Amino acid sequence: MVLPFAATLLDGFGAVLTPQNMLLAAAGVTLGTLVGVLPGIGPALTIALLLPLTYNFSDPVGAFILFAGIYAGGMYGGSTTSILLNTPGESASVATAIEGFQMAKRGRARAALATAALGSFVAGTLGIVALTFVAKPMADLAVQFRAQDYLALALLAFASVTTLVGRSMIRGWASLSVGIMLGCVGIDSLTGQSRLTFGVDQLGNGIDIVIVAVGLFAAGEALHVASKLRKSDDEELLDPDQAAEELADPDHMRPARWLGRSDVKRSWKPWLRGAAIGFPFGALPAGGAELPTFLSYSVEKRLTKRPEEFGKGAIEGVAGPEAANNASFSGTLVPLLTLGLPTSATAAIMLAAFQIFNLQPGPALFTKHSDLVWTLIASLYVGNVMLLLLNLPMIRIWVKVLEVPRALLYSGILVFATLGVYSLSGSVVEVLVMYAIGVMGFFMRRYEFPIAPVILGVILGPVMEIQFRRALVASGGDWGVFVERPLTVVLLSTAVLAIGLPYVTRLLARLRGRERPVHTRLALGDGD
Amino acid sequence: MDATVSWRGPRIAGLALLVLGVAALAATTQIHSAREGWSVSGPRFVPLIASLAIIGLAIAFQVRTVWRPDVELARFAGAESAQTHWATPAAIMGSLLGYVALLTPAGYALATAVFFTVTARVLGSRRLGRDSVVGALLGAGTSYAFTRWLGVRLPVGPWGV
Repeated sequence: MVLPFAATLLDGFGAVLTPQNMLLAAAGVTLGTLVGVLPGIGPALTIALLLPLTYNFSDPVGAFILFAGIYAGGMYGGSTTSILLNTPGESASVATAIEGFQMAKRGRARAALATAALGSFVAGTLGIVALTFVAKPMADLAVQFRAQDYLALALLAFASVTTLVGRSMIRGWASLSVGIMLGCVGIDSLTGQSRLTFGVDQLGNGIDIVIVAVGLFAAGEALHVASKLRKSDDEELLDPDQAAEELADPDHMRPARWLGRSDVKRSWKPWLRGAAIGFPFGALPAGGAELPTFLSYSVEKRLTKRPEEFGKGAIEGVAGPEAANNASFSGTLVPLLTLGLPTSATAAIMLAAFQIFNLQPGPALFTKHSDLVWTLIASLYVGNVMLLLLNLPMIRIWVKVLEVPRALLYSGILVFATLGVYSLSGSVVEVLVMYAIGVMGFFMRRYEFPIAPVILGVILGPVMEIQFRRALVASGGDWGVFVERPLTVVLLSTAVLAIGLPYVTRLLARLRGRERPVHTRLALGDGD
Repeated sequence: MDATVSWRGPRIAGLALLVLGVAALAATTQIHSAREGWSVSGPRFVPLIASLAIIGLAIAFQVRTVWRPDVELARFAGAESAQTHWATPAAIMGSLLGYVALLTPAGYALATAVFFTVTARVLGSRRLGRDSVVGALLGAGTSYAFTRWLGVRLPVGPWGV
């Protein structure tokens, strides 16, 4: 059977596979890795910092290809830092760092980097294939969405992110409320009234998501690292070419190399399982890759035939989470492209990139700009292949980047953060707002307030508000509009369940007489 | 109540959150909405809910420093404090504000070169020559690339860069 979208996907490949676009893909992958490999920088920030590069593109195709490469490179760069420096650029790479750094310490850095890259490629490709199949039917379904359904979906995203990420419900909800408040700043789109601008005219256009993301991730992280730089021990950067015997590990007396046959045998199932876990989690409005990566890690730990290796450098513990991380991003493209709902920081920055070209993701995108959607999907395929071809051979260069003195690195990050925000509108006020948000991010890190709900609040808060008000206006103020459609009821019920889930799991554990873990990143709301 | 951990940091953070919520609530009352008033479909409703939520959660956060205290958080904050050299982030904030103040009068390239060199020194680098060369190259290079190739208008200052 010839799939109805096969022809349009082939057209997408036709648009992407030109010498000029292949060069753009190569440049994107290289730049993305170069920035993504910097400690403390994840894919969202990589894309936000490199967003100004697309301002001068007259044609969105080239910009999307560059972006797909930047994204793929940013993801891979994050895993390199986790493995060689034990410094994950984002929470989704934490699981990779657990086993990856241990592998590197045992002289198996190349194998860890290779399984991460191949796992990313395999899962990324599978994720994109799944996206190819799911996106169009989902867009067709999304056409039937009404205002109240969008509201319910936003509420579900709020509930799931706030309860599933972080340790405390109070801090999670506080972060979300601050995000929604920031999202309210500016001119109200329905009445034209100025809101929460504190008399500053430049805030009339609202606070752009790029300002919030760069402030929280770049400035916040730079201040956080800077505050500890003088009192912290030197980081241990491991050389991927250092052989096991040099590291005096009696268990692995063999030269450093990429994947051996036994490594592939141990990795391929975790790659597939990681992809199977990552994609649906990404597609659900549950905010990012932290949950699927840890879930994949615990699944691999449970299924392995060598449990004694976990914690000491088990390759399955790198292969699974990296695959889950990449597949998860393909999943986040489903709500982004079909509903216009970005459910992670990376997806939000992608949305900003769409808006630069006056494109609004959502069901209409598939009918009005179908060619662009399939070109983007084709670009993701190409970015994945390019990543594999370019990055593993260039590992020595990425290690050199990791050797840049921290003082220069973080000074440079602050320069690019300022440049990125200034480039948005040429406004010094917006740069100052970004710094203020950076200070907030610094203190949030110190008191374990999760960052993801702020981002989600800024993005989805305005969406939720507009749909809520539209639904009420359309129904003449009748609140029954929120329970009259089965889809709305199901979404709202799921949101309520997501809020109650942490308490139910804790109650069940107590009934079974189990102690709760002392400290886990994914313990559901156990701080409260 | 655990006497071995300090609650000062979490309490100050809770207080800052409360101040933010109160400021947002005060700003919400200033939104002009003669026709809609405080109606749920008006422009004040969501900012009102958000600011009230921030205030409520800030109070809940403060309560948790006294009642069923979150000792794990206080320990984490204490460990962070022990590693913190407060003068460094304060100096970086000062250099960031100086950077913004310099951007328009001095131009992007020079302001960036000065900011980079000063910040690298604040962060512990002692190689002034290397840092200023890297800063100058970074400032001039990004200024040229962004204005020439990407069409981004950056402040030029009296030197034209």
